Amino acid sequence: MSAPETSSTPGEPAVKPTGLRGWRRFRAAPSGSIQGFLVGGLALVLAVIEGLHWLVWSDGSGASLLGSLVRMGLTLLVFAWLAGRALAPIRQLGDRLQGQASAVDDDASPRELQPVTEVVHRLLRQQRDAVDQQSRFLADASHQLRTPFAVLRTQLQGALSGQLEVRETLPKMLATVDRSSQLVRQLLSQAKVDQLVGNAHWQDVDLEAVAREVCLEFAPLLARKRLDFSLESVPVNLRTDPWLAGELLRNLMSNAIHHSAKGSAMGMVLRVLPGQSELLVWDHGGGIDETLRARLFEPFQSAAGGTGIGLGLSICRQIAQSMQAEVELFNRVQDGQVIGVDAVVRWPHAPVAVAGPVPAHPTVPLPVAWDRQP
Amino acid sequence: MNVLLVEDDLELCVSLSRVLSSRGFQVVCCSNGLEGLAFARRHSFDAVILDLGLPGIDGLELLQRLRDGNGSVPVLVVTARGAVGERVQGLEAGADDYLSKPFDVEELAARLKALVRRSHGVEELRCATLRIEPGSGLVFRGALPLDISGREFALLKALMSRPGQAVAKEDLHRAVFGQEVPVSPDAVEVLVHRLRKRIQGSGAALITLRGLGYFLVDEAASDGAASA
Repeated sequence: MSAPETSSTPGEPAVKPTGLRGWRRFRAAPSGSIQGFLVGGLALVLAVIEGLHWLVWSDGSGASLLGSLVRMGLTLLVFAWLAGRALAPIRQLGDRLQGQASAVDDDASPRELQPVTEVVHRLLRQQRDAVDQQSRFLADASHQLRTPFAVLRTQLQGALSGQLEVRETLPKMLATVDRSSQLVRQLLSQAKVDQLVGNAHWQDVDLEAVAREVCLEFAPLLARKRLDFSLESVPVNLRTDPWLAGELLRNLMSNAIHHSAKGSAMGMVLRVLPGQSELLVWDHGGGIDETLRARLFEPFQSAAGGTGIGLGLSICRQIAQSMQAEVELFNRVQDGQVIGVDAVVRWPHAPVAVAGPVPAHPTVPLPVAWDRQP
Repeated sequence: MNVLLVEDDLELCVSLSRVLSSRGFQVVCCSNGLEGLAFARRHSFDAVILDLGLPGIDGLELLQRLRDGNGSVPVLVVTARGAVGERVQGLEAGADDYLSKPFDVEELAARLKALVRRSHGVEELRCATLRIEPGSGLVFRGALPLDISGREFALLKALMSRPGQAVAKEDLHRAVFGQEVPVSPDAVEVLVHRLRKRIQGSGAALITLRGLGYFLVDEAASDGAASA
C-alpha cells in the first residue's frame, strides 16, 4: 500500500510520504509538509491494522475481544503520536516567535504554515515600523522642545536678575511661548498623520467642501493681514481621510498667509485638468531660494531667517504621498520677476468628480497667466 | 459676575483667578470634578470655566451630569484637547463655547462676557462703534442711529451675530432672503456694497473673501493683532 507522491517546489523540502519511507523522510526534515506527514502516517496506521488483521485471522481465533482492543489501542496510540508530531511545527513556530520574533524564517516553516508566518512577519514589520516612528518622533520632539525652553529660561533668568529689561523681555517670552505652542501643535499633528496614514481607513472626501471649511477657518488670519483672498473651485472627490485632507490644506494656507505681505493677494484654486486634479495655493510672498526648495520638505527645515517650525511641508508631503499625490513648490514669475510661490498638489490619476458637471478642461483659470519657475 | 473655575492645575487656577478678578469677575476655584459638580449645583454662577482632564470625574461627565440635572449655567470648556472631533464632543455634551489651551486671556474674558450676555438674553451685538440694540433692533454708529433698510439690517445682524468668524455667502443669502428667490444672483454682493457705504467711519470693515463669504472686523482690533 502506498500513498500518492506530493509535488515539491524549489526551495521547499521534498516530501514523499510513501508509507514508512515517507515517514522517515519527514523525520529527516521536520519542517516539511504536515499534509505529507499525515498521509505517510495514515499509510503506516493502515499497514499496522492490516498486519494485526492478518495475525488475528491467521491464528484461527476469529474477531476476539482481545484482538479488537489491541487494534483499537494501537490505533489510538499511533494517531496520538502522529498528531503530536504533526503539530510539532506549530509549537516550534510558537517557540521561535516567543524567543526571538525577528528570527522567524519562512523557509524553515511547513508549507501550510507559510501564510501564517507571512502574516506574522507583516504584523511584526508594521509594529517595528510604528515603534521606530514613535522613537524618531520622541527624539525629534524632545530635541525641538528643548530649544524654546532654553530660550524661555534664559529670558526669565535675565529678567529676574535685572540683566534684561522686564518690559522688553516679557513680550519676547510671550512670542517664545507662542512658538512653542505652534511646535507642539505641529508635533501632535505629525503624530496624528502617522497614525491615520498607518491605519489607512480611507473614505470618500469632498475636497471642495474641505477647502471651503479650511478657508473659513483661516478667515480671521486673512482679515488681520488684510489679504485680498479668493477661492476658486470645482467639485473634486478623493479617497482619503477628511482630517488628513484638511491638514494638508491647513498647512499650505498657513504657510502662504505667513509669507504674505499685509494687504497683498493670495488664494486657493481647486481644478480638474485632463488626467489629474490640482490644488493650488498661491501667494505674493516672494520666492524661494532654489537650493532650499527640496530641503523644505524635510522635517524641521525652514527658510533661512524664517520663523516657521519646519514641519508643515514635511507633513504635507507625507499626506500627499498617502493619497498617491505630489506636492511641489514653484516660484511664480511675472514680467521676469519672482513675485510669489505656488504650492501645488497634484493627483496624477484624476479622482472621481462628484455631483455637478465637472469639465475635463480647467474651468478655473489661474488668477493671472503666470509662468512657473521649477 | 460670578464664575466657577474647575481646573486641576493649581498654578493656572491662581494666575487665571487673579487675571479675571482684575477684569471684574469673582472667581471660585475647584480642582476636582466631583467638587466642581457639587459647587455648580449648589451655588448660582453666571458662568463655568471647565477643564476636561480632571481628577474625580472627567470634565465631559461633569458637564453631562450638570445638564442632566437641568443645570443651565453657561459653560466654557477650556482644554488641551483641541481637535475638532473633541470640540464637537464637548459641545454635544452641553458646552456653550470651547477654547483650546494655550489661550489668550483677553479672548477668554471676552468669550465669558459674551456667554453671560447671551444667557441673560440681553446680548447687544457690537463691532467697533457699531451696535444693534437688543430691544429696539435699532442700529447705532457710536451714539447716532444708522438709517439702513430691512435687508441691510438682516445682513449686518447675520455678520455681527458671528463675531470673529467669516460667514459663507450662502448663509448670508439665507439670512437676508430666506427661501425667497432674489431678483439678481448678485443680490448679496449689491447689499454688501451698500452696507459698506453705510458703515463707513464706524471702525468696522466688511472684508470680502471671494468665492467664500464675508467677514466683519473691528479695524482697530485686527490691526493690533496683525502688528503684535
